Amino acid sequence: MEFLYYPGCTLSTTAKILDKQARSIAAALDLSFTEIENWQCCGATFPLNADEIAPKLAAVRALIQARNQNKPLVTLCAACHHVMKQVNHQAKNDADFRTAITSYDADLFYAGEATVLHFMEVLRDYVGFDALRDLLEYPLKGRKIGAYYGCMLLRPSDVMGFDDAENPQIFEEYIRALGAVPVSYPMRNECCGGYRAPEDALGCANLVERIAKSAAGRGAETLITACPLCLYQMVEHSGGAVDVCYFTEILAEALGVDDDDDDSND
Amino acid sequence: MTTVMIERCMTCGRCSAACPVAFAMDVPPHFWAVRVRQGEGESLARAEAIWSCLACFCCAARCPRGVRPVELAEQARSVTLRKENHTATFADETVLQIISKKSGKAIPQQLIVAAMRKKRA
Repeated sequence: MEFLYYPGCTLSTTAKILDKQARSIAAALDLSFTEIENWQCCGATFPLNADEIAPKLAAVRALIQARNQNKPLVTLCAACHHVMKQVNHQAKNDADFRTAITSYDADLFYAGEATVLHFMEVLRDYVGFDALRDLLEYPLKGRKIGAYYGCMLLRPSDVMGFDDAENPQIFEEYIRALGAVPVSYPMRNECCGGYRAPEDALGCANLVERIAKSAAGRGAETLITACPLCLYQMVEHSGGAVDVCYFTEILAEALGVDDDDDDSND
Repeated sequence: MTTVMIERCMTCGRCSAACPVAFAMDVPPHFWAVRVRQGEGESLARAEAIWSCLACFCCAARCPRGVRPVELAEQARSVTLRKENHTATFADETVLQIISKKSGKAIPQQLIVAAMRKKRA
């Protein structure tokens, strides 16, 4: 199966490890990932003003490539996933938006035809968690792992279509497929506070600390996340209540494709 | 004018109950639609709360009436930024503050981009 891969700005810089693990996993699972040509940063936030068109054009250009090549567009970063799906949804459902993007650039005709997938959705819907279980070299027996969804993967759920925003199960099913024990805890879909981190690091510290303690209190040893910002917030501010890593790390380990040369994000 | 269905808000407070930072806001989310509906959008644009919003969408997810307070926060921020004619300098200063911190190198690019977007009119 062929996919068009959109790495985004963070996976090219501070979260290179996420990019590397995803590519190793894709290769091991016979998924063909082609990096999208000349991709531009998605903008990290989806503008909520109806009159903001230009900040969405980078996403539109990526989506057009996916449509033209007839391949699903795959993202890893929670922010890219959020922006791509929001823009795709708007292009499909908002005629004024379609007219506006063509007014900016006559080459941009787009009506939401592409499919946007998060890497986790590829694992669930194209590989299958049952099939994945059979491919493991080193199942993570007995490990207690909590899913930290955060906000951008899930909400708004009618647009993301990722999972039930209030009671998501996809990460838990994934953890179970890898042979580990999923630890459910109340704050797994709470926001890390990242959007406010520049102005108010202390207030945000409090948010992630509560989330980490909620997970540790239920017995989680490790948290997995798909979001570089959630990971950063957890590492910086959670007070070490629980280890945190990207969701790809545990799969790379279970498949035996973990390069093991460094755990840093450099 | 706003795209948010402000007339549907019944001030039930579920958004504020869901919001992880409502406790620290001067005007919590369940008053936002009412303010705009009563023609007091200006006072919302001046509230500190609209800058505290994390854009995590949980207010919208929990609303039983399909109102999206999260969008009102961003629209109110834009009203302020555009009225005060903030230029890119204001956004760039925020970014400079972030990356000049000690731990600046570890800061994910998505945060820098988001911080810039937040303060750009």
